[in-house]
Amino acid sequence: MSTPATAAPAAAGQQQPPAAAAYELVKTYGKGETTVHALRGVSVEFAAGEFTAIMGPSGSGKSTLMHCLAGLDTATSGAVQIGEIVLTRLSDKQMTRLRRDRVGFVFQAFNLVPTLTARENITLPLDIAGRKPDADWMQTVVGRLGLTDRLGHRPTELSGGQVQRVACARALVGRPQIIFGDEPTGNLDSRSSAEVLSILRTSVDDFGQTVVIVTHDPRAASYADRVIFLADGQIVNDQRGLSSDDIYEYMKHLDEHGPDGLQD
Amino acid sequence: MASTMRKVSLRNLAAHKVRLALTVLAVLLGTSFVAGSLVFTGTMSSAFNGIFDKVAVGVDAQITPRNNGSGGFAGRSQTLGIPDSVISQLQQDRQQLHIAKIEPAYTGAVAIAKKDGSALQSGGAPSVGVAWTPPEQAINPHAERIVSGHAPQGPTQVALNDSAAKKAHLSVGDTTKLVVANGTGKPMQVTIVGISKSVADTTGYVQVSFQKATAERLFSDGSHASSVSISAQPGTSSDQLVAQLKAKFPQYKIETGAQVRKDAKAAINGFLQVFNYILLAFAGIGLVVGTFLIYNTFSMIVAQRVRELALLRSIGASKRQISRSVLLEALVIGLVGGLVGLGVGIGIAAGLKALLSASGSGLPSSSLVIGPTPVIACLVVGVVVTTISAWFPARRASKVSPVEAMREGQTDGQSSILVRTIIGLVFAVFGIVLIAGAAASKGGGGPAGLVGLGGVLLVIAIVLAGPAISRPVIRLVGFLARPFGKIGQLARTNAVRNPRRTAATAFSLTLGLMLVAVIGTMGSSLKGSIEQAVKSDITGDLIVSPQNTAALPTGVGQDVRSVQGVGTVVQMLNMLDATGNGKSVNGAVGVSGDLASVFKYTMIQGSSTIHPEGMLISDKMAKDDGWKVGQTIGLTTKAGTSAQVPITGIYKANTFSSGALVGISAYDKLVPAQLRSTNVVIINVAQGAKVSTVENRVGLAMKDYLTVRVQTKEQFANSNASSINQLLVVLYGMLGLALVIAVLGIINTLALSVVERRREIGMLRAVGMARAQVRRMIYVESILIALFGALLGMVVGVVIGWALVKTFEPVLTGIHPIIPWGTVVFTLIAAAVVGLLAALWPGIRAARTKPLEAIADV
Ligand SMILES: Nc1ncnc2c1ncn2[C@@H]1O[C@H](COP(=O)(O)OP(=O)(O)O)[C@@H](O)[C@H]1O
Ligand SMILES: [Mg+2]
Repeated sequence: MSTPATAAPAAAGQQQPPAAAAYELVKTYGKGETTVHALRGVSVEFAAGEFTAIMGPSGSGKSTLMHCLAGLDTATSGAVQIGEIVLTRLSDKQMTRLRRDRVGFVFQAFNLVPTLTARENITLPLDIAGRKPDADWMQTVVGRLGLTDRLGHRPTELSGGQVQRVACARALVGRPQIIFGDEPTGNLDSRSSAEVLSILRTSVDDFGQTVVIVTHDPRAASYADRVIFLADGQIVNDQRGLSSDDIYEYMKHLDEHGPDGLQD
Repeated sequence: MASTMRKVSLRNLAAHKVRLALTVLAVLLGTSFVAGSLVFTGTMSSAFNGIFDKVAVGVDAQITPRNNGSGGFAGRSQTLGIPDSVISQLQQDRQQLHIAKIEPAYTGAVAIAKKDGSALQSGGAPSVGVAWTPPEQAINPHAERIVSGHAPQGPTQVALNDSAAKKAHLSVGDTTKLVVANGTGKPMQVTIVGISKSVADTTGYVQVSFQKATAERLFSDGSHASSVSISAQPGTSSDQLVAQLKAKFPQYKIETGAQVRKDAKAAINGFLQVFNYILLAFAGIGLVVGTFLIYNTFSMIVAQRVRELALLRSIGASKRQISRSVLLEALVIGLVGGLVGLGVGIGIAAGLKALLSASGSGLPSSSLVIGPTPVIACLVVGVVVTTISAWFPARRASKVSPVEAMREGQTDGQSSILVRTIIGLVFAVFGIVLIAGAAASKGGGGPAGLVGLGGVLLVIAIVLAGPAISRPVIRLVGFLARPFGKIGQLARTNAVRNPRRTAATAFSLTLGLMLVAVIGTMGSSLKGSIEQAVKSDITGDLIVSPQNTAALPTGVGQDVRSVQGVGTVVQMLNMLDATGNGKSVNGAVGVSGDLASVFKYTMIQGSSTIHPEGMLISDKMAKDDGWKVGQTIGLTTKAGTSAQVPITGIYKANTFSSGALVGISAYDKLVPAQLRSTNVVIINVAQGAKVSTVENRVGLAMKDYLTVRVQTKEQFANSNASSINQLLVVLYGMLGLALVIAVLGIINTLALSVVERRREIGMLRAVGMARAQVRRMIYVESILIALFGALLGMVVGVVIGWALVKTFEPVLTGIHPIIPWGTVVFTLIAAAVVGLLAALWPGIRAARTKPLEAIADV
């Protein structure tokens, strides 16, 4: 088993360099009167081996933050770092390579190529890179995710939960520095949702994987070690060890009073 | 609502300009060839009509021989013409018949040398010698006149028409060489004493006018005229005169001037029809293929707009309004395509005309005539084709249910292709049975028609079963994608993702290249068979033959024999069409010399030597006519001559000959000197002589004959084959057209599927696919689709071509199918290149897809 034995505890993570980080990140859309401030100076570090959930009301900038962190989009100002690499000055080619080699993705929808089998989808980033998947690791991941007898199937022949699990497997099999998920369970029922989340949880606990997901489901967020609350493009709360009830209460509070009410 | 729907349609058109342009282009390709062919033939026939309106003006009756073959257009005469007795009879009965003028014509094919000594080529136009009639004696005093110099007087003086003189760089006072193509004459020196201008002048037309006595001597046997034109006295109508003459001379063809003009126009229109057919074939390909392109475009547009359409439905648009809005788009595209097509078509016609007159093919020069027909045809064809093509997509659009506005994902008409595949296979089976049956039959026109019918069935089969065939075929050619690894695999699976679309896209290539393969196979079979036959059957060293279709006088035989170093000489002479014992004997040749010494032929019965008084017949003739060795046949030619000719042997029909080989004495008896001409002279060089030396000497001796070629066996084989190359020009034209349409179709399909797959491509980019890899994926997909289309077209085309050649085989002895591998490989490579080119732009667009588009809810 090539599983790293030690799951990095939150405290230990502080000393190690962060798996990813954003500093004074600003993102604005449009100009003049129609300017939208999606991110207003967000600074955050994600420790290696930690599971983080980003929460917040709709339009608060969660997706924007994640896209900037993951190298899918560029910020208006500020810096993003994945491992020791600063993304700010990367060319499209370098950015693509970075996503391919260091980042894993699980999207809400359109995760898989419909013409490829589950197995081919899982190894897709490696194949594109021209790398061979590590057979033992592949077997471990697929086994853990319960996909062993589903590998030959096409996405249309899989359930929604299975599709997301395949997406998780694809993200895990390349052993990226960090896995991002933008509402990875957004389209799933609660059972499938729980399956996918526990897989991500396990990958953090057993393999030391770093995971960041965006969600607005308190139950999903409760799987995380750390929950960051965004409101109106700013981090308004950042806590560890919250229960789903705590999160639910806080979200309700956010919705009722808005970020300004919180700061009082 | 109606105006809203119209607004939606028009906005849609405006919003997708590239798509609009591509679709219009698809319509345009078809309509432009329709317009081109109609404008071209319209222009040409009006120009020719203009010329022929001036022919035989004032002539009330013209007497010509019956059965005179193709006559006028440099063809060989089958008869001597109108005997002098008829002319003197006419003169006698002048008053009784109310005749004003009698004008006998003396004319025949000639070749004249340009200033530099080489032959003046007339292209497709006649090159003739005529008797000069001074305007004051002519029935039509305006038909021709001398514009500089004077009328020809002595036996060596001539007047040349001005356009020919210009082309030949000859002017008054120049001396040049002239050869009378038929008969027993030798080359002669003539002096240009005048330049004439004729109303019947076309590009390339060559008219050499002689003094009447000279013309009579050169072009007749001294007691015949080629034709006789007569004008009636005032008060007598043409019809009356013709009726009287017909009663008096029933054995001749007698027509009024108007009929002569009508015949001439009909003949030229028949000739123009060939161009018309070729252009219409192009138009046909363009339209059929365009139909698929348009259909494809509209299918995709509808697929992409499903949600929008569903939304319209849910807010109350009726089914009819939906389908009408799609059809309205089609109508606009059809109109625009038709109009632009008309413009391009006029350009095609102008280009073609310029091309043909530059090559001196005997076409009149005139400005383009654009009648109402091409305009109407273009618009109607454009609109009808587009509307029909959009019909099915429009119907599908109308079936979109309002709930589909809420549904996720693409509804892409993925209904089963089983039924159409089965129907397609049934068509294929019938097609193959027809083709195989025809190929195995005794051959001829009927079976060739069956092959054509089988071909049509196969095309229908391809249309129907194409989607089903696309998977296995693309898997087959998919090995080419293997070096590209995952990218290749993605490309391959994308290529078969929507088999209907792939098949419809590839169809343009399939159809175009199928025709290329048919023509290519026929061409290579004819070419190859003849080449092989020349190499294996002809044992002579040198071959003397006429250039183009020109004839050569018999004198070449004697002149060749007197060249130093020449050994055996065998001269083959053209025979007149004849009948013997009630059977027609066509395609016979007269043979002077020992044929067996220069040509391999197998005797089935009798000796291979051709007795001067006798003839050999082929096994085919023996079978068809039931003739036997020892039998004597009474042959009668169309010129009225006859002879008793015994059959001395039966030979096996071959590529070059399947008719009677007539001994020289019998030939001389049957063919009047005036009508003799040389078909070919085959030479063996004398022992010890060098072929190249003798070749040069013979060339020198033949130089004055102007339109003569002296070649080695190899050169002869090649040049014979080169006439088939004209067929191949059409082939490459079709290839070009098919490729252009294919490029458009593939661009269209790919561009639209790139838009459709935006999210997926975005996702691929997100998980690390580089831009170059995205581009490569699209390129490979495109190449695979193109190769699929090309391969299908090649296979079917070669099969049809092969079967067609098979149906000729029993008729054209020695012709056997030869598959043009070179053309096949070249075409497949061209198709791949086309696939790549077509993918460039869609590939770049796809590569520009941002990874975020995978997630964006657009
Ligand atoms: N491409 C864009 N153009 C303009 N505004 C955008 C764009 N993407 C996001 N926004 C705006 O930025 C803000 C943050 O959006 P987003 O990050 O998607 O929020 P969340 O994911 O938290 O719902 C919103 O107000 C949204 O309208
Ligand atoms: Mg979001």
